[in-house]
Amino acid sequence: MDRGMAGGMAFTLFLSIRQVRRAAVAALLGLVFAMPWAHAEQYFDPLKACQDVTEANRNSAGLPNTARALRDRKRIKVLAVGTTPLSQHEQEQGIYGLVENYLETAFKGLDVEIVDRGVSGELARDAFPRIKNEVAISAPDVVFWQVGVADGIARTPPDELKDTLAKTITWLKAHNVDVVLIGMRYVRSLAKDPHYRQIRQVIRDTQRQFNILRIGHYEAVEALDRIRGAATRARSESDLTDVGSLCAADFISRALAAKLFVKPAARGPRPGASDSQAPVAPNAGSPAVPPPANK
Amino acid sequence: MLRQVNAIDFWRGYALIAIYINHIPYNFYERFTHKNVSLSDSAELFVFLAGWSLRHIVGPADDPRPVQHVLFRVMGRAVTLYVAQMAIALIAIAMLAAAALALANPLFLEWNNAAAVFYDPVRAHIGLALLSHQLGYFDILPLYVVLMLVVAPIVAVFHRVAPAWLLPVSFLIYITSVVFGLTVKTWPTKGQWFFNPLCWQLIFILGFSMSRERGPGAWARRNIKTLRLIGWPIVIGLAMMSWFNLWWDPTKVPEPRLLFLLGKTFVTPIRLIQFLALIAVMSAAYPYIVEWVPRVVAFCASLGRNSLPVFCVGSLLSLGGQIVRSAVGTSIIVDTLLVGTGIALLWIVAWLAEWRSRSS
Repeated sequence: MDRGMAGGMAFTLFLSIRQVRRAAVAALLGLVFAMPWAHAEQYFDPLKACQDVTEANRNSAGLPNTARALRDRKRIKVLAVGTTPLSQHEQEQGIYGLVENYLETAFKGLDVEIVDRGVSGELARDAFPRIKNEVAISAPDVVFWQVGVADGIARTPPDELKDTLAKTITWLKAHNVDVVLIGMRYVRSLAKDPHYRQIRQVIRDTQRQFNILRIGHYEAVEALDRIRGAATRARSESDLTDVGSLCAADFISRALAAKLFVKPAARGPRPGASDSQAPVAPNAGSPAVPPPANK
Repeated sequence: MLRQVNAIDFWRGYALIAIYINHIPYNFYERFTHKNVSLSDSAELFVFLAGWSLRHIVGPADDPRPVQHVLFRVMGRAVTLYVAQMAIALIAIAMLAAAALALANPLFLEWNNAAAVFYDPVRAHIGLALLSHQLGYFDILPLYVVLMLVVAPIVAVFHRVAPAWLLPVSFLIYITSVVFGLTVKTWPTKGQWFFNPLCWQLIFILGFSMSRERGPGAWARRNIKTLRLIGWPIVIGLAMMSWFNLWWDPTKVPEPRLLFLLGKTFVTPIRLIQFLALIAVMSAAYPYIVEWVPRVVAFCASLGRNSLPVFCVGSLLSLGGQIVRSAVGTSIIVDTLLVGTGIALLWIVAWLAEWRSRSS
């Protein structure tokens, strides 16, 4: 199969994934937004906000080890650590369960195994030794690491977090394990908190330094909050957290699909995107993977 | 009548203070607890001394108390511990909820593994009652409940029927768990008990065995000088490795890997060996400590004599400390106030408990 045909199939598949995801996310988001106060939110499109975030770091490096595992075994193993993003509408299977379902439904023959070792409130310094042990035991292809939230609350010194992140990511790369950082959470009351902002900046800097994928959870919810406007400011912030988690699930699926099945786009950073960075060449370690047939 | 100041109560009091300090992450005084130069920390010491204290219930080796009596006592203790765990978990949840409301920050609802309680309350409350869902830093009492409910009765029976088999059977369960990665799952969250009871029971049994006048305890006392000679290089060597982070690559060790990894959940062999070496070495220190700082020893011993109420209040105070640090920011002044006030309150709790027992 030539690359053009593969790209075409990938595009077709991507539409299918998008349809599946959009249906699922729209239904879930509808529960949160449309029903309780539909009169106040008639023109609100949360999917649009999710979409904006999805576009945010499309130029980050691929997932070479995950792509290799997919090519060789048609199976990828994901280790999820750190604070597990949990929302009211995902409790049955968790955010990673949604991701697993999205991908396995969309791609025939793809087996996604998610080893969920997330602990809500876990600090990065505690996660680091646990990641090493879990990698030794589980041998994952990629680590999803929700990092920064607990450290933001615990007032972890930013330099120490930076050091921990660098050590962990360096170690994982040296052991041929890809990393996806799931970043900070947006909370109105912390939006101007200097320490919280510093922690967020550390994570963004780390992403750029190591050229890895980051899930822009913060940007998603911040955008949602902005779109919703002042009319609903009085509502609980946990609603925002909830929607942000759904965006994250959507984005993780989208990002994985994009990095694994679609040839990286050779274009510059998206103007205004918070995670924008210098364009990178298609990852040499990430061979074009023929997309599996759509179900 | 109150117990005289002794080494066990002193070390238990020390462990309670260390746990309180360590459970306020990144506070200035955290760097002075022994976990910074030791693979094991206060949790091992706490569980070891809990096993040691079981001797008071079981009775002396040559005149053990009736099994029914022991079972009644340990079951009663397990119920007390369970009620204490429920109470502090409930208060901790309320504290997190109050912090989330007062600071308009829903992230507190996910702090310390509390997310399921707020976002999946139906199942999480069942889990809390079954001890299958535990808040972070509130996970040692559930272990203690299991040890009292399951392990202590077995100890009582073994101790009378086949005392020589107690430690070997405990070790067999431990090593099987480590080799095959056996653990106890949490629910409704997907995970495992932070303190795997299948492994931590060995620490408890070791504490009990070392307290005995016969068997392994007697052997250890006879050979304590040799054990200390062996223990010193282990403690120092591993402290250096810990300080300079000179660990082997966990992905390069042979299978079964848990045998060679560093881990608290499974209290992996290297951590266990270091803890035993530390116990052997530090057992020589008490006479000097009591001579040099008798007031400190009396203070720690008063906490140790009242370990359950002090532990419960300490757990809540450390959570309060986490919230305060998050709300007002960090500085050495804040940390000093938190640690100083907290330890003073722990002493007041111990004093009140003893005043109550004296009054009654």
